[in-house]
Amino acid sequence: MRTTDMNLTRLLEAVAGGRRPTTVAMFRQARRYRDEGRFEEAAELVARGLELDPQNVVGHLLAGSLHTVFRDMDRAKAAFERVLTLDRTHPRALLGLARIALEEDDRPRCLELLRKALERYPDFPEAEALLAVVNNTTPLPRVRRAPITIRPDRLRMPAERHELLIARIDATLLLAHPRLARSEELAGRTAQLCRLAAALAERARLGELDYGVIESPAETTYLRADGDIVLALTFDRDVEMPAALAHLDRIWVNCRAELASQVA
Amino acid sequence: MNVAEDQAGMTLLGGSRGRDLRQVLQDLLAVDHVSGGLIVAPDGLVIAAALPANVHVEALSALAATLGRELEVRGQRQRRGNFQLGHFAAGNGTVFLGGTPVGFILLLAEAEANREKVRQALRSAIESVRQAFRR
Repeated sequence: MRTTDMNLTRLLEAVAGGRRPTTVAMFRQARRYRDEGRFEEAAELVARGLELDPQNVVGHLLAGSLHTVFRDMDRAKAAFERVLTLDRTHPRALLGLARIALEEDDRPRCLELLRKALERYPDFPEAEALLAVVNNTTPLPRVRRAPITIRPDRLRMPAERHELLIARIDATLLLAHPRLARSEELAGRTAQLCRLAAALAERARLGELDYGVIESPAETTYLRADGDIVLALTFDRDVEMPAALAHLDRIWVNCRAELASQVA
Repeated sequence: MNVAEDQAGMTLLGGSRGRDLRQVLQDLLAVDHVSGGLIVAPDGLVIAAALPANVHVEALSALAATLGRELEVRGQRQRRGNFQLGHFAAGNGTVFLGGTPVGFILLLAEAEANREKVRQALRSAIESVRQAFRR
């Protein structure tokens, strides 16, 4: 017998106190493991439980949750969809699918799923918090917008920046420097990121978002946003944070002045 | 079959401090002017939380997990590398968010907090969780 099977056998015996475990007991224990951050053990129990009881809603829901933890979003999606075939308005499955839809940039689907979850459970703070952000992300009809041209030379961009991006909060790209094939997509993701960060700060009772700093291995992105515009500046990691924030502030002021001059 | 290893490529390193996520959060809450925090799985499930009384854990955890995933997806799609940590400064304080293999660590810091100190503490916590849940 493989070591992992022996471990699982011991685990199952422990769950059942020496008796043959029921799937209810297995999923209950799996949930405990998951809640304690013992994801591998939880996943083993859920897989074994679903082999014994493939129609179990709780099992598929736990599977969806655990696939999400392991960033296996295709399998998470399949598990949550399976839950909905068994219980078509299960709020946790709807919420799980709504999150995945948001990641896939499918906002209409995300909205539909969140609304369905809230119809079933109106007191569902997680769904309500996400709905508030997603509602705010639905693009406004672009035909109503006057065209805006921002001249890069008016912004006084620092030479050491990698990339500059200015977008409307509804994700309409206003300026990307340099302009790349992925700039439109980046505008959408950056605007969404700013809306989420602003909502997070508000829910944490910290007030209005001032700026954001996102660190990745090679570079750091600095963000500013208000209810209208998003600015993102990306630098190499070796640029000091105070210097980068000073650049961000200066470009923000210049950008707002440029936009104000066009409105006037 | 070891489902977890087969599905996620994660390896358990027994006895590592970063494995105890509640303790990781407790250690971070000891940093000066950190007023609260939580550790949330990518699906929004709260693993550990200690928040000020006027902050609702459910809404905050949902937004933290969604923002964390947004940062991960952005990193992958834009080829910017794995998201490590971010902070978002607001009028009355700062939200710090760090990415780990098992989810996200969120900290709330008061306006008086030394951001660099909190950032370093969070970075070190992220590293210990990464070591414990090494992929």
